[in-house]
Amino acid sequence: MANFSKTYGGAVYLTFNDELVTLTAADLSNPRFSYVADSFYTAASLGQIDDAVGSILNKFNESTGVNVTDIKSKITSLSNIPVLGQIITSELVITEFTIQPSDKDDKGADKQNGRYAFGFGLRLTKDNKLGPITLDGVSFSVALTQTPDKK
Amino acid sequence: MSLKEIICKTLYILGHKIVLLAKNTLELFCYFRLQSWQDAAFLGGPSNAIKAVKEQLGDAGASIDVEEALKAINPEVEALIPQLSWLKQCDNVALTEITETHPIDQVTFSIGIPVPDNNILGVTKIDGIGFRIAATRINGPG
Repeated sequence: MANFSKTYGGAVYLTFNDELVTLTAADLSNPRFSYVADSFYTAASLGQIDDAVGSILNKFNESTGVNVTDIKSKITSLSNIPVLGQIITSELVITEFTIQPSDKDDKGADKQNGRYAFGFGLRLTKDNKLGPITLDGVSFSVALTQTPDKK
Repeated sequence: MSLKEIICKTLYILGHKIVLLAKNTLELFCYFRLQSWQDAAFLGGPSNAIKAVKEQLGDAGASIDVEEALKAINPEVEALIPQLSWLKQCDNVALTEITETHPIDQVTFSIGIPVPDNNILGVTKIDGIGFRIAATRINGPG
């Protein structure tokens, strides 16, 4: 019989509009749960940007310092990537989510900062040029690093 | 939904019909993903569930030892991800994933549970937790 190596990992499930989004981690001892959408067609729907960002931020139990006004402002300011503007006016899907909790030593001190990320976007069907390239979709991502409280 | 679904194979696990879809017509990558807890097939406790699934997954599945697999959820892991401790003790877990990657003779599957309460992981509120097992042929396909 053939030999097989085994790995034991984990998964975290987030629900958006009754649809499961599965974040997987290959290593349980230092878990980094991540999800990247396979397809704009199958990714969970989030609605328009206000609802989308609200649904995502609702998955955090602490303030992230992120809000939809700042995200819209950031997207609008990126004038060299005009296709991003469609994110503000379109129905969106979730494109990525990462949860990497902070790792603590046996005294409770942080050995590693927590890292989190999320992204949302849409498949482009019109006005989809970026320079000479025709894009199939576009996404906006936010990465967060949780640093320990200063005492 | 994808524009066209290609059914790779259909499994029956403890009476539950599980359809694996193919990425494309080559059927080199076949998968089942739970889309909603409402559609979940619950397979009993973790040992029972792992045993029932692995029996459907050929030589790779047969190579999986149930007890050895569950030992991966050890006290250190439970301290970091307490929800996995509850999954290990739960008497009814759902099948959430099967993936077959044929070119490297690998099978991966996950069991999971919703966690409506005590659901904090890091600074996030998770809706469910899962345990994932992968078996990969060491010497490549024969």
